[in-house]
Amino acid sequence: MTLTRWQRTAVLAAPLVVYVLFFVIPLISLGRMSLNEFTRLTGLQDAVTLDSFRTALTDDFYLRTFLTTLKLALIASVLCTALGCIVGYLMWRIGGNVRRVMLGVILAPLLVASVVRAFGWIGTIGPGGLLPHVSERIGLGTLTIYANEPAVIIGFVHILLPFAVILFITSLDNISPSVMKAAEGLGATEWRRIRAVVLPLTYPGVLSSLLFTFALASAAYSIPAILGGRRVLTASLAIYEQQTRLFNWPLAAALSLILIVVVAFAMSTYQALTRRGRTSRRRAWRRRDRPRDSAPDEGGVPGYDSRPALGDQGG
Amino acid sequence: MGSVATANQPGVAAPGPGTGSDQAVLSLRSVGRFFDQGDHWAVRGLSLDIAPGEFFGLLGPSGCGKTTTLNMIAGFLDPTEGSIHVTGRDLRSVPPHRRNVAMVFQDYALFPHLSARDNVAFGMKVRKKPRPVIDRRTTELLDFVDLAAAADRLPSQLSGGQQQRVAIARALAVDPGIVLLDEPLSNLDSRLRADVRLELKRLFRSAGVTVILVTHDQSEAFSLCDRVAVMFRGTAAAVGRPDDIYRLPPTVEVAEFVGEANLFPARVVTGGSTVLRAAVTVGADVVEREVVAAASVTSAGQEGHVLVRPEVARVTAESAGATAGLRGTIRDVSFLGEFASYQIDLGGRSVGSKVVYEGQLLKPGAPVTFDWAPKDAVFIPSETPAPGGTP
Repeated sequence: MTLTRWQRTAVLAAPLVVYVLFFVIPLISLGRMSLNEFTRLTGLQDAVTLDSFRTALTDDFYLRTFLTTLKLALIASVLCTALGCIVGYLMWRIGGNVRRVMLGVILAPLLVASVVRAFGWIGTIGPGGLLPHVSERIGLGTLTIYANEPAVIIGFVHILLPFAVILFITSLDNISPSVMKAAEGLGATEWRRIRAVVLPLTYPGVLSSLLFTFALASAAYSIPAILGGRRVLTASLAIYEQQTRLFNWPLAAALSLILIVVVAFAMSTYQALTRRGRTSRRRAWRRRDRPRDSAPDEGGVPGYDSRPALGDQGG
Repeated sequence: MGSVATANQPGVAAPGPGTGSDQAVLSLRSVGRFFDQGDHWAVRGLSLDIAPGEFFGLLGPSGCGKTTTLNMIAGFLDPTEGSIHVTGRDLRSVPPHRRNVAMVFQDYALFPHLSARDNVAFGMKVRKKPRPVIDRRTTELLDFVDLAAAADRLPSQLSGGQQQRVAIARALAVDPGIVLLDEPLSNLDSRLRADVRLELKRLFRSAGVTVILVTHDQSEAFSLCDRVAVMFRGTAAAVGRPDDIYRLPPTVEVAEFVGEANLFPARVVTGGSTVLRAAVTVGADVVEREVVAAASVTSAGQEGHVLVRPEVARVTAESAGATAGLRGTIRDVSFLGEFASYQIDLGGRSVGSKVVYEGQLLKPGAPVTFDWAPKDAVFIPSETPAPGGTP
C-alpha cells in the first residue's frame, strides 16, 4: 500500500496544521505581546520596544528566579531519574504480576491532580504536619522543610516519578532476556550486569527521562506555588504574577520567551555533553554496509536499534 | 565426594577427552522440572549420560522439554527432582558460571553495545583474568572463528553467521568443558546451513569440548550429532546414534518424527530377538513377512507396527513382470531432482516411496507392485500398557 504523493502530503499536513495552530501562532502572538509597552499609569499599549526584555534580563530578581528554576529542575530530574531507574529495574527484574501491580501503583497518582497531591504534602511536611511533629518528638527540633526548596523538590520527584519509571522500563524491555542470561552465564554478578549491560543499553531511556523530567519541572507551576509557600520563586511563578496580578503582559510574555530559550538551551547543552562520543559511534553503524548472509534481525538483537526518543527530536 | 563446590577453579582448562575411563562428563539422573505456571512437568524422569568430547543432540517437537533441559544443565533453572552431575560433581545450587558449561543462545545474545572483541573478552574480564592474558586469548579465539578482521565491529555490523561465531568464541573464552547450543542453525539462511553445519563440527572438534545441542530439526540433529536423544513430553523416547534411531526407532512416535514413515499394523507370528515373522496388514490384505525386530526380544502374539521407510520400499511397474509384492496404483508423483517420490494406493491405504531418479518416471494411475526386503522392514512393538503406565 503505497501512498500517492498527494496522499502523503495530506497525511503530513494534518499534524502540521495542528502544530501551527497550537504552537507557532501562540508563540508569535507571545512574541508580539512582549514588544508592547506597559506602564502603571497607561497600562498596556501597542508599541515596539525592548523594555520588557531589558527589565527581564537586567533585573537581579529575575536572574535569581531563572537560576532557581534551573537548579530545582536539574536536581529534581536527576533524583527522579535515579529513583526511576532503581524502581524500574526492580519491576523489570521481578516481572510478572508484581510488575503489573507496581506499575498500577506508580501510575495511579497520575489520576489525582497535582494540586491535590501538593496539598497532601503540606499535610505531611507542612506546619503542624507529620514531619515536624515526629522530628520534635525524637528531639530533632521542629523540622520545617515546607516553604523551602527541598519541599519543592520532593513535590517534583513525586509528580514526575511515573514518567521516569515508564521511560526507563520501556528501554529495559528492549533488552533481550537472553542477553541478560548470557551475561549471567559468563559469570557477571547482578551489579556487574547492571553496569556493563543494562546501563549502556538503556542509555537512551535514561537520557530521555532526564530531559523529560527536567522540561516538566522547569515549567511546573502548581508544585512551587503550593509547596514553595511563596518563598521559592520560579520562573513560572514570576510569569503568573506579572500576568494575573500586575497585568504586565509584555513582561510576562518576555519572561516566557526567555524561559523557553533558557530551557531549550539547557537541554541541548546537556544533551550535547552526554551524547558526545556516542554520537560518532552510532552514526558509524547507522548507515554502514551491514553484511547480510541471513535473515538478519529476525530474533536477532532486539533493543539494539532503539535510539534516543527525545534526542532525535531536536529543538 | 564433597558436595560443596568452592574454589574458583572452573576457569581452568576443561578436562579433555583424555581423562580416561568411560565416565560421562555429564549425567542426568531422573531429572524433572515442574512449572507452577501452567501446572505441568516440562521434563520428567530424564536420564542421560554424555561422554567427553561427544556431540550430543536433544531433538524433539516444541514443548517437549528440550530447552528446559538445556536451561537446567546451564544452571538457569533448577531441577525440581533428580540430579545433574558434571564430571562427577553434583550441580545442585551451583551458579551457571561455576558449572564448566557455556551456552550459545539461539539469538546469539551478543552484547549489542560491545565490539566482537569485547564480547569475547567479557567472560574473562568478569573472571578478572590479567589484561595480557585476556588480549591474547581474545585474539586467539577471534582467529579461531575466522573473525580477526571483524574484531572491532559491533554485532549489528556483522552478518548472522558472523554473529554466531562471535557467540561461539565468547562461549569458548571461559574454557568450558561443555558447550550448549540452542537451535544453532535456526536463525540462518537455508543456503548457509550446510556450510555452517560443517564449520560447527570442525570448530568444536578442534576445540575439544563436549557439545550438547537442542533442536526441533531432525536433519540438524542427525547431521551434527554423534548421538541423539529424541524427546517427547518431557522425557527421552530414544537415545542413540542417529542412524540407529532412524533405522530401528523404538516407538512409532519416534519413527514418524525422525523421517517419513510407512507404518503398517502388524502382529508377530514367530518371535525372535533379531528377525521375526509378522502378519502385516496392508490395506485390505494381510501378508506374512520376515522383518527385523526393533526391540530386543519380541514374542509371538505381540501387536505392533511394521515400519518401511519410503526409500527402502521397492516400487516396480507391473508391466515389468514382477509378481511378488502388493498390488497398487500410483496416485501421485513428485519429482525432486535426484529423487522421485510416489504416493501409492494399496487397497485404499496410501503409502510413500522414494526412489533414485534414473531417467524414467512412473505415471499416475500406473499399476505397480510395492515390496520391501526383509532386512529393511522393522517391527516396532506397541508401547506395552505396562502396569501403572499412563496412556
